Amino acid sequence: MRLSKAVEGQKYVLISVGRNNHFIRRAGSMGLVPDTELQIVRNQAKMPILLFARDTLIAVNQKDAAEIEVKENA
Amino acid sequence: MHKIALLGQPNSGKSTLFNALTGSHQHVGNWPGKTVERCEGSYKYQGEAISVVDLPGSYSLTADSEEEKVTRDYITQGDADLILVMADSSQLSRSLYMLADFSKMKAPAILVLNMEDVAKSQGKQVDVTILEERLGIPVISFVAADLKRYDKLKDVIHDALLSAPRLKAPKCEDGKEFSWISEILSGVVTQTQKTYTLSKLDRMATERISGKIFAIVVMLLAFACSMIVAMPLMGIGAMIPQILTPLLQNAMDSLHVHSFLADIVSVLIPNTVYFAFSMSGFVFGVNFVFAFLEDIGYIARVAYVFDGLMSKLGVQGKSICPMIMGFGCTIGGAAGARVIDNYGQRLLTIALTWAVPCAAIWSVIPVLAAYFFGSGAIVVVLGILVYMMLMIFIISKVFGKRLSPIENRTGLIMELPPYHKPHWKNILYIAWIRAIDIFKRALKTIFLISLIVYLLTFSRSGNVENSLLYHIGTFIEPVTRFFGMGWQTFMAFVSSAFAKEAVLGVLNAVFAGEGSLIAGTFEAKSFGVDSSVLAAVMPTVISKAEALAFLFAVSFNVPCVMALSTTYRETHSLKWTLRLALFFTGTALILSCIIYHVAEIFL
Repeated sequence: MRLSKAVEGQKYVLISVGRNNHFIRRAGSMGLVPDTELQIVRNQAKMPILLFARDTLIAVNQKDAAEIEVKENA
Repeated sequence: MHKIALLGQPNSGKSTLFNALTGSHQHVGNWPGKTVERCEGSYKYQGEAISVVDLPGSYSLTADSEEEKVTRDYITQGDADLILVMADSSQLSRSLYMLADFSKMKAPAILVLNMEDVAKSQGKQVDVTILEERLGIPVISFVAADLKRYDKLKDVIHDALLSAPRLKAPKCEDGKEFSWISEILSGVVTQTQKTYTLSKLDRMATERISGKIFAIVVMLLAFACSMIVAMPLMGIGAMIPQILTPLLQNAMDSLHVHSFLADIVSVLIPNTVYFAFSMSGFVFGVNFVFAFLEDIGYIARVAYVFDGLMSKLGVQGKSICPMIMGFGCTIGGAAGARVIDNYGQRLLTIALTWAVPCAAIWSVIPVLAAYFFGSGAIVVVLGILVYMMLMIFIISKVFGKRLSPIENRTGLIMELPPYHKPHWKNILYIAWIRAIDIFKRALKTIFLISLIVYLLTFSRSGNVENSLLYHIGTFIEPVTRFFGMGWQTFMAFVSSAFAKEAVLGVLNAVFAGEGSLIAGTFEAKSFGVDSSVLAAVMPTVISKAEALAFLFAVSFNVPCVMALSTTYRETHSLKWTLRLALFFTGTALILSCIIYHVAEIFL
């Protein structure tokens, strides 16, 4: 599923970061690479998503989040 | 001389470390041919000077942006004897990314694990000994904002400069950064956090509407606090001309010095010192408050809630801070733009801040508007606010592409650091260094511009009509008329570029014949103006259309000389400061022209 549709409080595993190389590298430098475990801290309409991954609270734009693919972490 | 360089991601505490290490021995410029800032400084260790280069904040070494290219080239060219790689102890598994990238290069290095205090408060412990063994370079646990720890850091740097330690850990393969990190870190960190809960305060501070309101309230409070912090210094400054001017005047009189020179000594010099004093007082206050907000981690929340809005203008969410500050004082806005870590975006933010009319303008405009339009003054004020929005839009369109290239405007992906307790000593220290620095530089700029204004306004008889400005003003009146201003309003317009309060002083000298132009320009700030005569005389000479054009022209003219001086200091680019000044003067004249000719039809 898309990261932008992820539910607050749930945990996910990142599958892919979209196709834009520039963004892939930037997200990578912030710790967002495939297989990264993350928790959705906040997902409100019209605001960047707040997620927690690798001990870090990270904000990601809704538009970019729509390109990021995640799956639920059982 | 040994040279060390600091390498780290934004938020790693790199600039805090740079400031504390080098103190006032800094030189800031640009990397040749680039809009990327180059910060260099030095410190002494056992009598030996060590030079420090603060490499531009970048997320990695992949050469994706100008900053990254500069940083990468600098390291590969081997210009530094030692690289200090910075990481955040409280988020090691993410923040060692820079070290993983760096492992592909061969340069002597040490690893600085910053924010040990934050990690400790979260119950995280890092085993430095294992880490040192695995990496083969010295590793130091550190708190960049704690000034007591620097002696130890300097010792470690000194030893490393002699032994030139290089990473013995294997080179990290491209795309495998995080497996490299987890191998390095296995058994090193005692505990990692699994879930995160927003505190109540943080829930509110990151909420779409209430977060924005909260941020604006905090900025207004920040302005009030900076004023309180600055007040004592400004008070001392204001006393300088009040005490010195009469004393010096008497001295000059008794020595029969020519009034031209006498005024320079007794009016110009004390006022220059006063302006520089109050300006650095204010810069101190602003830097103090902003450093505090940044230190406790709040500025990142402002960036978060305002990013959607501000990114449309080509700047970061943080840019809202200096812009709101601009309603109080443009100097504060320009000085506060330091929170923007990208040079081009910082310049653009300052340009946008210039478009926000400052408190001095707000104190002059409603008074003047009421003389001409009575209660209609409210409409004028609203009109100024509406044009301010338009001007902000125009500036982002005109300068945005150059200063903040669209391909570099990545979507927002940023870290929100955890809140922590302020490090007061460090905050005070940074604010102090910057205030001193601006005081020294401002004296020169302000004196020079004051001198020009003085030459323009000087008149032997004290009569306005003997001044150079009067002659120029009346000579070019046919031209200024086209732009909507007669010689009187044009003179006030020119002097408004010196200090916004001067508008009333100059008009008073022109219309009421009270005080000389020089006193009107230079002393309006320290003594104030009694404007009852103005109210009666002005509307009989100046048409409503001219008045309206003039009010807008003054509101959107270049900011005062002190704001110009601060802008030059913060951007260290004379070219850009002048370019912006010309742009603002030009647009103010065009605006005045349009308003005058349109208003003439209706009023």
